[in-house]
Amino acid sequence: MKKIFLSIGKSIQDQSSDLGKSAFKNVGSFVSSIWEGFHPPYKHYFSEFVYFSSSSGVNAFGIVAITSAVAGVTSSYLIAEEVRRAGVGAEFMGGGVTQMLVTQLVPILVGLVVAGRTGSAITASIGSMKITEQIEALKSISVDPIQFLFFPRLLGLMTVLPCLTILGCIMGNIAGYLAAERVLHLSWSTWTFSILDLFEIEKLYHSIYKSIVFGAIITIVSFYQGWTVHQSSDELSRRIQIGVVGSMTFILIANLIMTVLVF
Amino acid sequence: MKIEIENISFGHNIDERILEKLNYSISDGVLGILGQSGCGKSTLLRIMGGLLRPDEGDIKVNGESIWKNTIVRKKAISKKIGMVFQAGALFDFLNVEGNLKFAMEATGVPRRKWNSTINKILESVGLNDVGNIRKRFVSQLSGGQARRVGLARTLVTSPEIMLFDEPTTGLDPQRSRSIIEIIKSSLADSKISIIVSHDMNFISEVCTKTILIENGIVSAETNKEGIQKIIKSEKTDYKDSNLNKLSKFIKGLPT
Repeated sequence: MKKIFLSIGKSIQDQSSDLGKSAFKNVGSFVSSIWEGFHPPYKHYFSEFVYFSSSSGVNAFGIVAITSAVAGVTSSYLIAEEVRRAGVGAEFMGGGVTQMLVTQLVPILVGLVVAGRTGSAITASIGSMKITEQIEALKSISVDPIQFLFFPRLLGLMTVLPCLTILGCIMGNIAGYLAAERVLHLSWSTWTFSILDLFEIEKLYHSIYKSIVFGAIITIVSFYQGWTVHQSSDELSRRIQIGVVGSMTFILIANLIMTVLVF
Repeated sequence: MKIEIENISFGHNIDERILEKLNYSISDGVLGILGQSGCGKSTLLRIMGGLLRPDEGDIKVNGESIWKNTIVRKKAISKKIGMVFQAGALFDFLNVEGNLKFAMEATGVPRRKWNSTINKILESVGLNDVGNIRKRFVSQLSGGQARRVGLARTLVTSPEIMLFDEPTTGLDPQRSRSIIEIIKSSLADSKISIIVSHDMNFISEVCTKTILIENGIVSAETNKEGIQKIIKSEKTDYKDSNLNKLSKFIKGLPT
């Protein structure tokens, strides 16, 4: 039996491509670097965390507000049209649209927008530091690059994404009301009472938990892509693409898993 | 102080090793490492500095292992080692002063000493008279200046072991000479210095021992006199492209 497993293992090993092997080596080196980062001496790069959180949050503020508002208007407009045709259900509009925005649309949109914007910036900055030997220079002066570069970014995005998600929910909701008001002449009080009646506050908590997970996904995937750059700026541009596409894919998969299995 | 290189093997690809069970040890002094491009000189330097994990083998500093030790001890031992990178490797998010202060803060130099240390080091690397040098960012420095700041950043941390990765490569003779003079004056502060270079004149001037790396191992070694004999010899072409001749020549020299 042992021989069979050994021969299967050997044939898999023989057939696996260089790419696969080096990817395995890259993952191994990344995981071991993260592991090293958890070991003392601990230094708190609080200013890095503050700088990264504030810059990524402020920079993404505009695009998140616009995207969420567009999502709010679109979904509300489509539902309002149906309600107008059917002639019933206007009193449920606020709750329904809010539920849709908070549970699915806003957290996913914010995740995707930040993956494209901040994720690509993370890969670019870490990758260029790798190419210009700045990561090794950090190690050579006893600065753990994981403690200095990775943890502040990880905590930063895990903090910023929930804030942006809440902002997106508010913007989407206001924009959604404006669309409903235009189509159905719905009053603000009807919209608000509908939300208070139908919307469960737990859904907002779930949305925040989701966005924390998305923040972690974006940082890990983008940082890994920058960290494993070896050769040139050509490779870096390819890594940025892989980082963005990978983050987006993992966000969608994680959302599916959390929606079906957890929340 | 002593560094032991024990059975170091390393390959960028799993099937292709550039270092193969390399062994060597060095006590106090200055070691020069020669070898053809791509033979693994800089890789070996990074492994010694605790920057790159070898596939096999270990580095010992005063008998204490770097790569087969706990992570906490590895970090503590690595603190004794400073590395000067080929192109300076300055942090581009900081200016010159920021780079030096960041290094001092990281290695625990007391804050009250920062200013005096920066003045002293900038003077020793010949940058104190460059206008507004402290506030300049990497993009505002010439290649030679960036290297000198890189050297200064290592010097402010006062490491016991200094590793130099091709510090003069790509510089014109005048700038190269000034870097050599700075390195010569800084060598006294560290107990062991290891220099990777293609510049035989530089190696002969500063190194007490020189080794040649070929086929992943130390193929030959010689002392200061041996290297000076090579420099004086007209028969030996010691250029990078003709290292076979150099290897044969070194093998016949005193160690």
